[in-house]
Amino acid sequence: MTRLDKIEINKYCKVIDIQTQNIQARGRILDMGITPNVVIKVVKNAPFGDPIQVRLRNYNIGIRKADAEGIIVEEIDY
Amino acid sequence: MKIALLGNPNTGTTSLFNVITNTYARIGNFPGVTVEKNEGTIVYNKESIGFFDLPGIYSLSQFSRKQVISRDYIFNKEIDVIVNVIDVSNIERNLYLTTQLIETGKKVVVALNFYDLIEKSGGTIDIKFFEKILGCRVVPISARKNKGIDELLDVVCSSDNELNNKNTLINQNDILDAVEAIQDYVYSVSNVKPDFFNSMKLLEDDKMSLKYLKNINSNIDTKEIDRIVKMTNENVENSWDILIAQNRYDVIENIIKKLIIDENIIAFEKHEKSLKVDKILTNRVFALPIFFVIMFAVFWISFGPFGTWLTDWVFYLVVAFISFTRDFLTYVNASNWVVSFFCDGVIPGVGMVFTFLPQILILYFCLALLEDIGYMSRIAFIVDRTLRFVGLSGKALLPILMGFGCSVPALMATRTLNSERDRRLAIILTPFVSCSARLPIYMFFVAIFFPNAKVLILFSLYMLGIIVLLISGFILKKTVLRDTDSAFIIEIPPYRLPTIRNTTLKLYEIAGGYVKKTGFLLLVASIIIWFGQYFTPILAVAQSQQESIIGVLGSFISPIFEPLGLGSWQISAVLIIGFLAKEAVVPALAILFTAQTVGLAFTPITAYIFMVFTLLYLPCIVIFATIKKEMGTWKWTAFTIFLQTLVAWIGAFIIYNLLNFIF
Repeated sequence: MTRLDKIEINKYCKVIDIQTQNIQARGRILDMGITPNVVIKVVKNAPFGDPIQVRLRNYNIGIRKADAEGIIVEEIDY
Repeated sequence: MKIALLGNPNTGTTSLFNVITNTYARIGNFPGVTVEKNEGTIVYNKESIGFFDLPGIYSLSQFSRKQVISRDYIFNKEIDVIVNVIDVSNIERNLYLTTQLIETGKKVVVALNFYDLIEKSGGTIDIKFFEKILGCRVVPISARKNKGIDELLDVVCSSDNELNNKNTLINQNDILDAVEAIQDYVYSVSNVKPDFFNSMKLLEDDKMSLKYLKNINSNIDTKEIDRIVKMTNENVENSWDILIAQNRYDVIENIIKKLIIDENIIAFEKHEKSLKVDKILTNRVFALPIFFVIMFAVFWISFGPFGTWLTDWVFYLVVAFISFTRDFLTYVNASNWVVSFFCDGVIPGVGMVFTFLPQILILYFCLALLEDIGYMSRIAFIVDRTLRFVGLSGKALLPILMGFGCSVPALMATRTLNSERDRRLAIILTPFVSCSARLPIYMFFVAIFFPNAKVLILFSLYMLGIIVLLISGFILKKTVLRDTDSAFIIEIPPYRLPTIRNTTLKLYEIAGGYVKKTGFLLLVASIIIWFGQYFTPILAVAQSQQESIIGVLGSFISPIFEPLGLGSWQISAVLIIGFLAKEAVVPALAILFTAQTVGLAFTPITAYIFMVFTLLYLPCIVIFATIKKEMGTWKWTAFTIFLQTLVAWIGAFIIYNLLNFIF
């Protein structure tokens, strides 16, 4: 198990848990479809390495590494 | 009948709104006054129907301002039907909002937008089956091809509610039991069964729902609610908010499996194409250089030869109109003050609003185009890291860029920012960006003092505005507006060809808002300025400018500007006028100084300092009103104005001493 911000580019991972404490960030994460069991692909990162672009549920989002820290995932082959 | 159009951002809600209100006889349409919603009324089958185009949102949670506005609209206004617009190429995430809308107890009609894409790819969706699962009517449409609109209106207007039989799609029993426990409790203290949506929101610790339900049933005890939430949560393996979101998405995944929608193919194709473009546009190395090139092009088109040519043209028209009016009024023997009132006060004041319009329109057209294509969300993604350094997020870049046109629409655009704190910071900082009304002032001085260094001087001022914005942001982040960990999560949509109609309508809306907002207040400001210049404090006609109200005020406050080398009463008078309207500064300078006396009153250094101070202090009275409106409280408004003036003074003081030291 690791965190979403640690996953390398072009690798896939599956969400295990959301441990973000800040309710604002937590609510946004869930609303955007980052829920347990969903598969996420890390697409790229922005200049200076942050935020990262990830793909899930057939669409793309940009998310700050700080916000991705609370998303617990496991890397999977896909 | 009142109908709300609601969907995720970028699903074509506004296109649908435009198609509906443009196709059918309109009774009234009130665009431009607000970014919050569009309203329009049509007559369909002899019935008058009001449409409300609500801001695009991802869910009905309390975590963004737009969501709160839309939610407030649904529950507190008399909405009869919610038309939920869904992008078929992104059904999975779009349906998340649908599952919540169904729970509000309102009649929901789903409009499947971009359905032509499904047909084009050779697929179909079993609509009847879809309706059965969702428990509400589903109508395939294509807003941009104007297809399915009549069918949609027929369904919206029909009174059959047989399909509106589900109060939720949630199917996990733990959640349903917990909601029932809450509903039972509320019923036991108030005899009213609360709706499913708000009862379930209590499980997610939602303050808005608690307030809403307490308003209806004052007997509700918060402690008791907390106890029920805690107790029910003990038997399940995760917290309620995660379980509920997960269950919603599980339900949606099941629906999509049963429908066998080819959305993946469409979405995948679009994604692949966008990915290729993004290989260059959001490339780690090239992204920022490309961004600067694009912005340079936008600014060159807006403020370069083309924009200037248009502005000059409008300016000549205004001047011609003034001299025509002057001749006409003199011809009919109007008294001196009447001639002066119109030709020195009202017409120049209002006319100036139109002088800036071409440049502002070109700038905003380019920005709207970039937004419609999908590049703006990429920019937000690219610059987020940089802007975070000064306490802002990538989303704040659009308001800042708009600030180069006029701060009024820019401040309204801060509404797209998520947290109150981000918004406050953006409102304080955006006016430091040099708006187009300040440009003529620079040109006035550059022509007299720096005819050979025009570009250098202008560039230094625009850069100074940005530098001051960055430094102020950094200081505010460390002090008054501390960095909270507000989430930055932004959708990066596939690139899309812009439709000229949508872009121009967006532009029309902003331009209309600009003219209405600034037009009236600048008219008032021009009258005040005219009054202040025409009369003395005891309301006699002023024989010289020094005797006039503004002249007396100028003499009074001039010591403040002494340390900046701007200590004369004339300059202070001009700065007071600039506080009301920057447009009036150049005319005031022309009245107070002649070509010779300007050279005596200013040195090149103090001329530059005057421009610096003009750049940094409050742009005009309209911004004052807008800041008050957007900040909401007098405390924050006063703080903002005070801070901007203070920064202007300190900035000018430092540069004044620096320049005196160097030269």
